[in-house]
Parts: sequence; structure tokens; C-alpha cells
Amino acid sequence: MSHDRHFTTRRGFVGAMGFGALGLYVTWAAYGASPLPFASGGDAAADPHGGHAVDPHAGHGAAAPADPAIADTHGGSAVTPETFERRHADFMKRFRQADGSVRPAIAAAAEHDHGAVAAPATMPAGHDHGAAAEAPAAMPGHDHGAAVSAPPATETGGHAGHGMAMPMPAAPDAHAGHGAGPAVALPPLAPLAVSTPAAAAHADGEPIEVFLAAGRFAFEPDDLRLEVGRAYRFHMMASDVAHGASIAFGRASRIVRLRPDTVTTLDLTFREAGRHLVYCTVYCGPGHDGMHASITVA
Amino acid sequence: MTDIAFSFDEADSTAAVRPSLRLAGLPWIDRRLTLVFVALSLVPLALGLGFGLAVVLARGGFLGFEPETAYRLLTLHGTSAFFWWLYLAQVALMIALAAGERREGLAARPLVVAAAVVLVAGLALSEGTAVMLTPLLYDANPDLGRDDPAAVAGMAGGHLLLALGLALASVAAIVTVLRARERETGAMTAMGFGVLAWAGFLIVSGIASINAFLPNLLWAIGRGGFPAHAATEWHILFHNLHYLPLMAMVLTWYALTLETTGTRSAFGASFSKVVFASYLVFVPPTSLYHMFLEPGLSEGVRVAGTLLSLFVSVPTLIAFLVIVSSLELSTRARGAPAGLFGWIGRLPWRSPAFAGMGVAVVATLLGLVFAFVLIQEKFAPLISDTFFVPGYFHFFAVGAVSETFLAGFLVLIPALGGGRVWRPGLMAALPWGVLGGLLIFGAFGIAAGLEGVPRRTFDVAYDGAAPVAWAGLMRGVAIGGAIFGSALVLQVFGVVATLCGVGRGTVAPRRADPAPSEADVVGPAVAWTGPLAVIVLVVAMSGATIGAFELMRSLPIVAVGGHSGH
Repeated sequence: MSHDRHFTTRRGFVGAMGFGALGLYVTWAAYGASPLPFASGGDAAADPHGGHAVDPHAGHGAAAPADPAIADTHGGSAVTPETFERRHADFMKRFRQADGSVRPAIAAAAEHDHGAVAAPATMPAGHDHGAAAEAPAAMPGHDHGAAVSAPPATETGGHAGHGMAMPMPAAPDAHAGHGAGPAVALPPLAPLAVSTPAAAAHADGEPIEVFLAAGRFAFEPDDLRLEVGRAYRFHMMASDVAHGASIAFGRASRIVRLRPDTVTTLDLTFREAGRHLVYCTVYCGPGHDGMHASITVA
Repeated sequence: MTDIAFSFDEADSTAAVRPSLRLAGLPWIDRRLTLVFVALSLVPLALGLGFGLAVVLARGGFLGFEPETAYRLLTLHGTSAFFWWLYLAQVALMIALAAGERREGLAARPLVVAAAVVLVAGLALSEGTAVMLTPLLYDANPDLGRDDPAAVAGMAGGHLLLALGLALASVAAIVTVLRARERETGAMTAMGFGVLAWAGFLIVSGIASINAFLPNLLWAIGRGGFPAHAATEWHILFHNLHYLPLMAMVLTWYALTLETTGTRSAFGASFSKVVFASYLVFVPPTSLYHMFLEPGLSEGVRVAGTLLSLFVSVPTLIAFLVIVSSLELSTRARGAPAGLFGWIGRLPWRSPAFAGMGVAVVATLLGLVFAFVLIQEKFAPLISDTFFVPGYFHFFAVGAVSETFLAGFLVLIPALGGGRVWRPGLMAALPWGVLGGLLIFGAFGIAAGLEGVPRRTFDVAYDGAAPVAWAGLMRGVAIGGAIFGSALVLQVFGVVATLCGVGRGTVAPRRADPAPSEADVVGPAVAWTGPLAVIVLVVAMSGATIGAFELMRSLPIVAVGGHSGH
């Protein structure tokens, strides 16, 4: 090689430029998403899967490790593929409401070694009104949920100003939800039986457990009602073939891939009210297009 | 077929001989065999295009199909275009380049004939299965075929025959190149070395294919247990399937650059060999990023996968730099106007082959910008399984690789069989039409993916529950797809017309233009375009990555985990 070459035509320079593409690593590091320990890993804004690692309402936030082994240690409530079906069935039985929706409450976790008194099962239909006193306390200082057209009675005060990903049609009356399809109006809150010790535990940030099963071509539950600011621990598994479970937020989605015989655990705290489409993202057969559910956060 | 009066001896095999001259001097049987593979590869391309147009119009709401028909079309599109077109085209190009290395043409010719027979059988089996049996998509997931094992057997059998055919052709290419080396007293050209690496990589991928599909086939015919690890084996194969066409593309760029401009690498043959060899070093270990969404993957593996993925495009980037810098130096040495980019206007854009390659280079850069968003494992829950993936990978599959292969064919066909390129002015313009359509398709597709539109779902209305923007974005995708698909249909027609013109008159092979030697060209010359392009690329990659981070931060959730504990 000639020694009077310009540096732009030297092999080393060309090689270095090729490797220069690794400069992308700097961007990762700036967001705390670089995978090596010497980089900034403590940027709270760079929560790997949700965006905000520290949330005053979540309790667990970034401190909750992504390591699945740790995620399964809460209260000794490890969920194995063998126990998933039983616990899912129990979850559905316990929290299914008269209108078909499922409203998980603290009692789910109380069952699992938290020393709480187990809550009674879902209240029978006809007991759905006037539940404010028994519902989980509204998160103080929250102003979410105004866009939910039929907010639960417990959260009607001071919840203005936040839009939601998917506007819902207005319901004329919070008590008019009986028998209505979930896409039309939110039913009133069912009474939630909450034992005091459990409530205390969850105030400390222990998430409420949710069990979501995916099978051809439906999710179970397919109409989940959750609360703003409360931490939920989702245990999910496919029952037949691989599925996906993606939650649509309007401007983006959050995807989980589900496999048979593999329980996927994900801690979620919704920071805003809204109604979110949940849909399968892995082709699972001819009914795949219709495989969806909803999560309503109020 | 017209015999072209050209002897290999007329060309100095050690100088910058245009590939067409080497090809024109091949024995008649090799020229015919290569053209058979060219023609054969155009069949799945045409099928894949037709099915793809139907799919994209259905995704945009312009066409309606029953679900089973829709997924059958998607299966046919993926199988035809991704497996059969991209790999049959590689065989055509590989045996041409290998044969061009050797005075006597192909060695182990019966292997190539056998490969043709096996590949025709495999193509028929794949297409027939996808048309008649349960649509399983192109990965032929046995989980979805539990009720229809014949569909699994047919798809797996087709893929295995593809692997076998590729292996046979690759062995023939390797033997040919090694024999050429023996004759040249041990010296091997950069192209010969590249073909050797490429063929070796094809054989390795064939083994990965056997690993992935043989258990499926055995289960389907009742000779084995259910393939519990089919998804993992598929991921390993799938990664190689991505990068083999890119490696073939880069080699074809080298050949096309020499053919259309008379330019060799200004960085020397040994550096080119390093670049070709680096595919074997960088590609196999970087497969993990396809699995970031898998629940069973540990955090450590995700981290390792993210780090390794940073290196995945290094060979392609270096090859890009080598070619752009060499072109700049060569063009400037021939009197291109001063100025940073003035030399670009002196390139032979009216040549259909060069125009195709030029579009491929641009499309590669566009694809890389978004591909590097996908390699960050933190984004897997945001964009994996969404339309972001087809939104960006069509820049590679269509704009980069397919355009390069078609450009290669436009050199191969006249060189091997005489005749002329059909309507060269139109054929030089069509790649830009493809790129225009791709830009629309990619912009809407990537936006749709970032909004969460699923990748493999035809009806994304979800009974009116989907965000309203989704339908509009997918209409944009369909319009872009229809534009680039239509331009590509015309291109294919032009290639077929060129092929049909084989034998109608002879084209006197030109002597190789005197390519500037390294000493003439390089010296103190400056070539900034390539490095500047890489800098722009890195800035664009970082911009896209920052956008994705900000999007994640805007989500109204706190989410931790998403992994399996078991």
C-alpha cells in the first residue's frame, strides 16, 4: 500500500468506520439501557419495559428485578406451569363479576402466605351498588380517568384532565351497566372484600396477582378491570400453541410472547385510566384475527 | 442458444476483467445451466410478488379474504419470496461467479444438475403444500399443524429439499473455485474467496435447516416425537437466512461495480477477503436478537445478545464503504468534477444494472437505520411481532437484495446468452419506482408498528376496539406496497423479456476497460463520501433509537419483567 494515501483511503480507517456504527452504544448508555455495568444503568427514566422505573404509586417500580426468579419469590407465590391452570381457574371463579368482567382484588394475593384472611368470593349479582366503602381506596392525589365515560363510583371525584388511549362511549348512568356489553359502559364496581392486613401489605407495594390464559382463539379473562396506580403481577401462559398478548395504548403497545408450559410473569402498574385493547400478536390459526380482550383501567 | 465467439484466453484472468467477459467465455453447458437457474428463480419471485400484492392490499382493507385464504396467501408470499426466490437467485449468481473463476467452467457439473432437479421438486412441494393444505406460514410451525401433519411434512420436506439443493450447488461452487486456485498456482481472487465463504455459509445453513425441519418431518410422518424445540431451531436457522442474502448482495455489488464501472476495490483483494470472511465471524453469534421476546430467555442471554448484535452489520457496512470509496476514487481519477458529491453524477446511472445496485445501496442504509432499533432488547416488547418488522425488512429484502439480484441478472443474461436488456431506459428507471414505493411502505409500516399494529393479523379492527389510526396507517402501507410491487412486476417482466431475447443475435463482448490500477488511483486521493454516509447512518440510527426510547417512556404504564420463571 502506498504510504502517501489519504487517511480516508486506508484500510484501518475503513474498518474503524465500520465499527463506528457501534457508536449507537452511547445512545443506549445515555438512556441507561446499555448492557455493560460500566455504563449508566441507573437512569430511572430508562425502565426497560415501561419507561418509568420509579413510580410513587407502584411500590415496586424499578426496584422490582426483572429477574424472573426474583419475580416469583413474592410471598412464596411461585407459579409453575403445573399450578397455573388451577390458580387461573381459582382466579376466574373468585373475581368474575356478574357482567362477565373480572376485577381482581387484593384477596388474590392475600391467599398466598401474606397472613391475610382470605376474602370471600365474588359477591352475587345484585350486590353491585354502593360499593364505594369496600372498594380499594382510590389513589390519593390521582387525577386520572376523566376519559372513562362511566368511571366507578369510587373514583368519580377529582379524576379529571387525563385523556385515555381509547375513548369509550358514554354511559348515561353508572348503574346502567347491568347487562350491557363491556364496550358500551363500565359496570359499577363490585364490592371487594379486603382484609385489613392484606390491604396494609398492598399499600406497601405488593402487587395483586392476575392470571391470564391465552388459548385458541380467546384470552381468559377477556374483560379485565383494573385500577389506576395499583400494581398488578400478571402471570400468563398459553394453553395450546404460542400466542402473544399485546396491550395497545394508542401511541404504542406492550407485547409479551406466550408459550405453552411456560409461565410469563410481568408486573404492571397503569398510570392512567383508559380502556386498552389486548390482542394476540403471534399467528395461532384461522381465528387469530378475532383473538382479543380488553383491560379497563379506572 | 447463440454461441458467443469469445475465448477465455482473450481476457487476462489476473486483470480487472469484467465479469461478463468471463461469463461469455464459459462452456455452453454452464451458460445454459446458469440461465436455467435464473429462469427458475423468477418463478417464485413472480409468485411471491403476486401473493404479496394480494396480502398488502388485504392488509390495507382494499381486498377481503376469508381468514384461511388470507393466511394461505401470506404463507405463499413468504415461502415463495423469502425462501425460494432469494435462494434460487443465489444459486444462479453463485455458480456463475464460481464458473467465472475457472477457465474450464464449472467443476462437479453433475452436482449442479442434481441441484436443479432437487430444487424444482422442493419448490413444487412447498408451493403445492401451501396451496392445498393448512397454511402454517413460512416457518411451518408444527404446533399449528398438529391437526394436519401432512401440511407440516410438505412444508418441512420442501425446505429440506431446498437445503439439499443448496448444498449440492455449493459443493460444486467450492470445488470449482478450488480447482481454479490450483490452476492459478495457489492464488485465489477476492471473488473466488468470497464465493468460497458464501458457499460454505450456505452449507452451514443447510445443516441448520436440517436441524430445524428434519424433526418436524419425522414427527409428521410418524417416525419421531413431537419437535418440542422447533421454535428455537427455527430462530437459529432464520438468522442465517437473513444474512446469507446480504452476503450474496455484497459479493454481487463487487462484481457489478467492476462490470458497470470497471472499478476494483481500492483497498486491495486481501482486504476484500477479510470483509467476506467477516460474515462468517460476525453473523452466526448474533442470532439472539430474534429471540428477545421469548419468555424462556434469561436476562444474561438477552444482554449478551444485545451486545453481540451491535456487530451484526459490520461486514455489510465495511463492504459499503469499500465500494463507495472505490467508486469515488475511480470516478475522480477519470476526471469527475470537484466537490464533495459531484462524482456521483458521473456514475453510469443509465445502466439498469448500476441503477439497481445504486438503489440497493440506498435501501441498505435505510434498512440499517431501523434494524439497529430492533437489536436493542429493551425494545422487543415495543416492536417485535408488530408491523415495524416487515416495515423495515422490505428495505433489505426488496430494495437491497432483490434489486441487487435482478441487477446481477441483467448482466448475467446477455453475457451468458447474448441478446440485450429489454428497454434499458425503463429498466434503469424502475428501481427508483421500487424505492419510492418502499419509502411509503416503510414509513407507514414502521409508524404502524410503533403504534402496535400486529405483524401477522389481517383484520386489525378488532370489532372496532383498535385505535382508529391503525386502519389509516395500513392503507398507507398498502399504497406503498402496491407501488413498489407494481414496479417490481414490471422489472420482472423486463428480466423475463431479456431472457426471452436470449439467442436473438449476438452481442460482441467488449474488452475490459482499463481499470485504474491501485497505484494510479489511490495515492493521496481523498474519498469522503463513504465515511460521511456512515456518520449520517450512525446519527440516523441514534435518532431512531432515541425516538423509540421516548415512545417507551411515554407509555402510561410501569412494567417490569415479562420473562419466564420456569
